[in-house]
Amino acid sequence: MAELKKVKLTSSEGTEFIVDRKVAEKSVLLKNMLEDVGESDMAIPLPNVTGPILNKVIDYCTHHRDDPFVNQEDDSKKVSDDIDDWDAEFCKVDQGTLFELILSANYLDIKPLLDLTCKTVANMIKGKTPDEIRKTFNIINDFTPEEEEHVRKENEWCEER
Amino acid sequence: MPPLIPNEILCEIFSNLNFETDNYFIPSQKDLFNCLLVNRQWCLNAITVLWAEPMPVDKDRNMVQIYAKVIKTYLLFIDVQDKQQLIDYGLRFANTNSKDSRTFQKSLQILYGSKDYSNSQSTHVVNDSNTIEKSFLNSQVYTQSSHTLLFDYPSFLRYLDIDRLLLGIIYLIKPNVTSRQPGDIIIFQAILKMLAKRCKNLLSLVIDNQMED
Repeated sequence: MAELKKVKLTSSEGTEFIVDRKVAEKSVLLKNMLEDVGESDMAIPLPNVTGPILNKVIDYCTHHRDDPFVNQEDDSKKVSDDIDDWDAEFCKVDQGTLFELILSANYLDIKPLLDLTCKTVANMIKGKTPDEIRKTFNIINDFTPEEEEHVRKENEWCEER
Repeated sequence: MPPLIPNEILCEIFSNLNFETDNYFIPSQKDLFNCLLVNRQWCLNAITVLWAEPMPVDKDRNMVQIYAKVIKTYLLFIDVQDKQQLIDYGLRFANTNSKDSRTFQKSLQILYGSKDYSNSQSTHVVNDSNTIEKSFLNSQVYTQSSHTLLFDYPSFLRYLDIDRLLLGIIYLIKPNVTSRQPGDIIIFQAILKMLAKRCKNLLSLVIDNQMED
């Protein structure tokens, strides 16, 4: 009956979420915690995850609850363009939310969600010049001109076609 | 972008900068190059990913020129004794001391310090900064002006294919041939020795032996 068990999670603001244990176990962090703690009615506090983000994460884990577990250690080549429609729709969020999802996926150790969100950001980077990238992500260039020149020189081998 | 994206996450993102040829995914070096010019944090992490597999295959493109360029950088890191051996063979190195770049090195080291990259990935001062002055066996080896390098580039290597290394060395000696060249083994040994010393994160080593005579 353990499969049908519910798990309580609390977001950083203290909002309580009740999810199926199977959904919660998409997170390796929670899976390990639940295995260590065993049966318990205590809510698990997630001080690093806000309510709206936790809501999104639960959406993702619920949709993918029956997916096979991907081997964490599998360091094979990653694919950037194999995002299915549901996942693509899921990632249509503002940039702040997207990066919070990445951080939460990393913290909760949900590898497929981390891959998906990182792929999404990678797709936003592809084909852009350094300046376009800075504009897209609102990044300040903190290189000194000298540094920038050195970095360019030492790595320009890969830019030439 | 939130003010602080951890380095491991940036690396994760950058490792998704790749493209497909024949169901095989190879790093997009052009995109990684653009990333490393964005700012300091992006630079460090893009370099970590770019130099993890600097010599990939691409079915649509002859990559051997790229391999040769990677090897030129690797040659700057080889041992003093090995350098001497190459010099004896006809390759000359010159000692240089660029004060500017050393100061810059220091500033980078303070910035990135030992915090996240203490494990062999820290920015690194190349102690005996060298530039190869003269070409090797009339090839166009290294004629770039001298300066100390910003990073310990070989230390980031994770995927090494011995055949591609050898192909790159041969190209360096004599472009547009694929047969073994005199002197290739000396360079090959010196680089392998250097890599064995510096690469603490090597994940995959491919030895196919197609290049064996």
